[in-house]
Amino acid sequence: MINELGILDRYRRENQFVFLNSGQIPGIQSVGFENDFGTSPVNYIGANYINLAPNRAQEGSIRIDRLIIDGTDHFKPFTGESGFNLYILKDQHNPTDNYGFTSGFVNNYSTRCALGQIPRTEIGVISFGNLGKVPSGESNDTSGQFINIQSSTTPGGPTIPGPGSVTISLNNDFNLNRLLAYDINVNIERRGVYALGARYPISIETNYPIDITAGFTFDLADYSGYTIRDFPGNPKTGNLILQVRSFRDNSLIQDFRFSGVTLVSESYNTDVDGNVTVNAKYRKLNTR
Amino acid sequence: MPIIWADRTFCLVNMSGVMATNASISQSNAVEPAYVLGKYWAVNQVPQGPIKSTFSLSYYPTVSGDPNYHILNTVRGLTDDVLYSGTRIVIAGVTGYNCYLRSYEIRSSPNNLVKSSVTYDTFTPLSGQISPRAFSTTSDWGDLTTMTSSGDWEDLTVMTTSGDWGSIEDPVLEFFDRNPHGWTSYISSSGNSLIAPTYDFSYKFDADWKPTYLIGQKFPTQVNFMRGTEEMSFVRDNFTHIQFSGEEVTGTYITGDWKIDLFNYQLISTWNNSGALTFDVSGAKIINTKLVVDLDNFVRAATTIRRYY
Repeated sequence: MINELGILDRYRRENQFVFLNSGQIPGIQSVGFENDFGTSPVNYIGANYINLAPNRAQEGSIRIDRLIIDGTDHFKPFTGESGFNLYILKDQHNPTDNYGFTSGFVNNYSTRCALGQIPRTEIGVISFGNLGKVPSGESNDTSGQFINIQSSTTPGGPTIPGPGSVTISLNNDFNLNRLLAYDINVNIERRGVYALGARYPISIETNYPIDITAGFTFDLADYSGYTIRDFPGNPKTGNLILQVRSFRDNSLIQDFRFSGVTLVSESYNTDVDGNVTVNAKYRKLNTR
Repeated sequence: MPIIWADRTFCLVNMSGVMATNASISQSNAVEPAYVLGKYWAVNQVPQGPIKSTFSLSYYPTVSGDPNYHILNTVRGLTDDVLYSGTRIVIAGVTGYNCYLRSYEIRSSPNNLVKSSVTYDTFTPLSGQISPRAFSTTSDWGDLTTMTSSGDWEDLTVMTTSGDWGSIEDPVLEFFDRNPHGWTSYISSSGNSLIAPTYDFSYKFDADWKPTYLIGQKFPTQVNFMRGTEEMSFVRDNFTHIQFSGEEVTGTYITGDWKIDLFNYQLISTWNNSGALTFDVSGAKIINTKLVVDLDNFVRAATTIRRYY
């Protein structure tokens, strides 16, 4: 499109509004869509002309990187069995000019925070519906969301958590040592079940177990390392509770609770430039 | 003899092209060792059966131009095989005459193009040599800077039944985009689409042909169709119990009569119905049902039904 100055318009961050279903999401740092149409060459002996035909499931892959700046982890509720639609709009109240997906399911959820940083989430999504410019009549959900977007309001002011507002409970390691950073990674395998005579999956299933890893980096004060031969006879296990609260009013922003996590790896690092640090990684496989 | 790549040759069944991904001809000579009393080693190898050539093709079928499907229907519809003399097959310039369909398989699975494979046997000599197809010009694609639009493939040069070399129009070009697909594989019962999902469908036809020889002749005077077996397998998420050995398909596994239509995948966008490969299950009996559970998948049951010709 050519603008009023007679030069080509451009798409920049100020005209990229991200909507999850019909609500605008603040704090998005980046969104990447992989829209592979599933083409495959139909090659044959003596091919006169090689046609491109669909020969696999048409599923999209999306990555979303977000800073939690409004006091809400919008994507965590979708680590269960629910899916969602997401649209990027050039005009905040006009969903016609969009790029998005429908029937997206989180297949990777990770959140991390380190000293001096705002907690961050990175989301991997697999979409089983449409991907690209989503028409308003794509589904009943889409039509309703498009109507709601037109009258949506801009999200409120920031509610930023700080590193000092993070509490972790797991054994006594975090009471006796100084936590520098944490990261939680959740892998959820999603599977579209396809039947003959249908282009879209008839069902979207979660293939259990859900693989959860939690890593912690801390400055040592009083820590006794774990011995590699202690596993499997005497594994180090515990119940992990990680809570992230608002910097200002202490309201809860993120709350993770995993029972029975097991220490699966540990790295001990010492060098001439700093304190001794340990990175401990715990794992839990969640069944249905 | 120049080297001929796969894209420069062709496969024909009954003078119609097939989109073959793999094709082979194998000839076998049935000989047995001849032992005689008084000799430790075999004294010779002697013929113990007819010379047989087998043509095998794996290919992408098309809904309106698959010669093998038409031959399948011809064989299934035979009421008297006296006048049936098989078909003619050419693979890379080597021609087999009087080829009889021994097996035909087709499989449809979700999100994939339908694939087929066929096997033909012939008991008469082959002719021809490995040969390319013809070109209209010598330089159809020199390099990226000299591509021309005039260098299209030209007609195929094939041997006629009288032994002369003639040419035919490229037989595949007209149908290359009419491949059936899992998206457009519909199973219906009494005209209504099934609601219960089917996750995989396969069909197999096996025919038994018997050549008859006369003393003093090297090649058979006639080849008779002895019997045919038709099997279909469906993968679904419900298990069918076989209650007795003659379990009918109708009334237990299905209600009404099933019809399986494999349409061209372009149907999803253009609704241009250019035909379908159609199979029905009437009169079949359940011969096998198998429940499968494995990690990382849902529980499935494969049911195989069969009928005879």
